[in-house]
Amino acid sequence: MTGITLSLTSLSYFAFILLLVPVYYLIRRERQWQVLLFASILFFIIVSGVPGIPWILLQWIVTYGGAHLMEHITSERKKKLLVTVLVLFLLTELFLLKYTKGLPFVAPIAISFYSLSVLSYVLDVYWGISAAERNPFQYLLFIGYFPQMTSGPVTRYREMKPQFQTGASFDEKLVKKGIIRTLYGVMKKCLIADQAAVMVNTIFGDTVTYQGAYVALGTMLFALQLYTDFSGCMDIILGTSECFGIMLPENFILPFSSVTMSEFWRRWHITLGVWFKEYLLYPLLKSAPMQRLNTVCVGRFGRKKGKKIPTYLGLFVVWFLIGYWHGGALHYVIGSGLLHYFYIVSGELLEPHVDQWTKKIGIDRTKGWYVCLRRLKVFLLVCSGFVFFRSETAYQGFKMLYRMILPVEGSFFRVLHVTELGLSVTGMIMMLIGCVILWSVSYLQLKGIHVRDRLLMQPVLLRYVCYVALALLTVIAMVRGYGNDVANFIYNRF
Amino acid sequence: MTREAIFEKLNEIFRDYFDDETICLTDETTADDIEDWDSLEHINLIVTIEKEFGMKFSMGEVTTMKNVGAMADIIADRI
Repeated sequence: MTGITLSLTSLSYFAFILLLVPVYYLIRRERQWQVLLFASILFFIIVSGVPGIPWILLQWIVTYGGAHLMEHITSERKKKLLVTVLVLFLLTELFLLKYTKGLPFVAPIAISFYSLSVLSYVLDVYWGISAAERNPFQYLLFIGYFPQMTSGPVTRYREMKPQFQTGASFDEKLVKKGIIRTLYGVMKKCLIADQAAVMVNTIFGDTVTYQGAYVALGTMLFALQLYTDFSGCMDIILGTSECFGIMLPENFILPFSSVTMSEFWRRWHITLGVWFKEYLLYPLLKSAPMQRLNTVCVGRFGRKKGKKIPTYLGLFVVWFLIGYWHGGALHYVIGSGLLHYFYIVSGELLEPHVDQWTKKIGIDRTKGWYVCLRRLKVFLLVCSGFVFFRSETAYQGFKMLYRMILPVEGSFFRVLHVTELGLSVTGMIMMLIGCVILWSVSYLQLKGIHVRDRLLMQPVLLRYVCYVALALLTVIAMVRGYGNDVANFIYNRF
Repeated sequence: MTREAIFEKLNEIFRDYFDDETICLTDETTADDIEDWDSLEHINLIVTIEKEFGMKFSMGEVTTMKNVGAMADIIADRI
């Protein structure tokens, strides 16, 4: 994989976009999708390399043909057989290319993201939600639309097709908003994530020296790194796409403002959660065997308790697979899957009791301090999963959790030498500036303020001061990023 | 069955399912309006409605139904 030349934070990527935008808007609207297709093919070849091409083409041809065939079959049995074959084909390709070690194949970039989008298309056609696409090249654009060809978001054909079909007229405000969001994403990635990564790598890279509060600090910094890395990447992707008038679905909505783990997953990597809910959990729970189990459990334990058993069983399957999707290794299955399953189910079971207890002792659950406490709880639980996510193996994850409770140099109250964690003072200042901007923007968003719209309404001078400051910070951050070997996005590898 | 009758029956099913006598369904009611109607309850609720009306929703309908009004339209079409 050539990877670096069109990395989302590289100057060449921005040059690519700057060249593309005028060409895109000079073309007639009904032909604009062809510009995007050409750009996507170019992007794919540069970023993913030639060895990945046959695999994406195979997926394209098989599912395009399969979906058409499905529309022409009248027998329900044959239709079911065909959709099963298509789903198995997609899952096998994904499994062999992404999760099987030692095979002489090179997985195309973003295969685990676009495979989910393609699966949703096939199932939508089967369920009659979408018609099979007539134009094979517009369908190819859906699979390989370049902004999302690194880390998603997972899209649905029915949402993308109308946008590709109609194209967009030049909207100065939308393009400006797209640029602001893109720069904000680069700022998050280079100013915060890449700086935090230096300290995280030091702590997680030395499981002998660091323990106690150092590991706790490393984990919290990793939470910051992963959030700003992944959501920054999404800002660049969604911002870039906005420049072409194509709106992609949001993947993050202030996840750390969540007060329950279920809410966290409605705000973190949203398109992945929605995909697993609609295309796996719902069909699984509605399947005949699960409904039979439901009847048995309701008969045995009563309606309220009985109906929960098949639901929790279905959730277990979903969370196991969400963890597995992240990379096939046990530490992902634990850290991004089963641990979250455990927290969500525990939360569901405990919630009515906590509600009763708090009422009994007179706590108003809507009070600010209580909400903050709940947010802190969610943050810490999420961090416990991140320990496994960041570790190389499940064993290291458990080891890091254990080392977290050990004292530092014989004391629990020792001052941590944060300046000795590999990040320079300049780096720390930059990270702090980035965090202040991130916190301020998040705070305004939490209050329901559309920050970019508000910014565009400000007087010209103030607006340009903000643009210059954001651009300057971005350039500084990008220049610094070239020195680090942490410039790739974490979710690019999935 | 008239649409009004479907709505009346739906209202009864919802009240019984969520154990909440204050529920008053309208065409625009969505999962956001009923506290306990989340993704974990969605399928069980759908299956309860299917049993009560003696019909089936397709998987596509289960995931794309926008509100109770859309649900009532599908039921009216099928019974």
